[in-house]
Amino acid sequence: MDVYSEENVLVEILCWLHVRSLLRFKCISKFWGTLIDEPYFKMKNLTHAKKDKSFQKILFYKLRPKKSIFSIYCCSISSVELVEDVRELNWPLNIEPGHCIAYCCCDGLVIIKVYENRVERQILFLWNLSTGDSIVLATLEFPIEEFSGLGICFDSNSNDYKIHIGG
Amino acid sequence: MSSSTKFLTLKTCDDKKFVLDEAIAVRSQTIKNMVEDDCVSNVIPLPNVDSKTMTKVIEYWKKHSEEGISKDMLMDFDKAFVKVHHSILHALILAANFLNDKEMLDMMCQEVVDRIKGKTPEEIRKEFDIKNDFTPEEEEEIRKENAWAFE
Repeated sequence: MDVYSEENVLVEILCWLHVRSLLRFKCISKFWGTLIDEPYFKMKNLTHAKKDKSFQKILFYKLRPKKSIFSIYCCSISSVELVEDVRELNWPLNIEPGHCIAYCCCDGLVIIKVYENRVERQILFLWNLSTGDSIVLATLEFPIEEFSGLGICFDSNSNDYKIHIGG
Repeated sequence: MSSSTKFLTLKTCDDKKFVLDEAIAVRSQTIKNMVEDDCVSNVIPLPNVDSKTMTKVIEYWKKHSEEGISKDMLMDFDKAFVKVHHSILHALILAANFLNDKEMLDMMCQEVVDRIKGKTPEEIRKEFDIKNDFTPEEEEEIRKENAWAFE
């Protein structure tokens, strides 16, 4: 069988997998690793994920009383996995938030503002919950007025995500 | 306009011929396109599919074209249909891909996904006979980057 159709089929299979499995499978071989990193594959995986309820997640946070640190959790919406699938997420950037606000999300990307008690600052960052990657959008001096509007959407013209900030 | 059943002859790569009701064969988008474009003379060659695989595909098509078959019966059939050795499943997926039968392809991809999703990279390499072409250092690096996925 020719390589082209083998690749096609692998793409068809892998695009059904959750990101966690895909990240694990990146080290199987160079071919798998390259394929999983392809922007076109990622888009296909996302398109697929949007159709599948088991990919939908809810995000919630709670305060750990003793430490005064907010922990953040993610779990699947589909009832079958609800119990087993609650996962505590590691905050990116080694932050220990005393409080946080999730502003908006889109395709598993979420914009969160955290207040760090330790260093008295606020960080606004964009977080990819599936991969754990994050980008700091702004570090803000304490205190600051709330944003009146913050939104994220996919812009098909530039084939990328756009963040809108209202004053 | 004719209401009589039209038959197509499909020829697999190992030169076996299958005569099939056109209404069933057009579950394959590839064959459907050929029929609609009037490209069908006598025999439709299927250079990417062998007869053993085609027999299974036709079994699937016929069951899914049966009149009055219940959803539950089809689900049971599908469940049993995909419980085959990895190599047969692989051949069926390639065939469904070539024949462009999305429903069948999706069903079988789902089966592979169920088989592999909880597995470790080592288990996948073994099952699919994949050679690890990373150096130990490169592999370690990727594992470190995605450590949480291994927890």
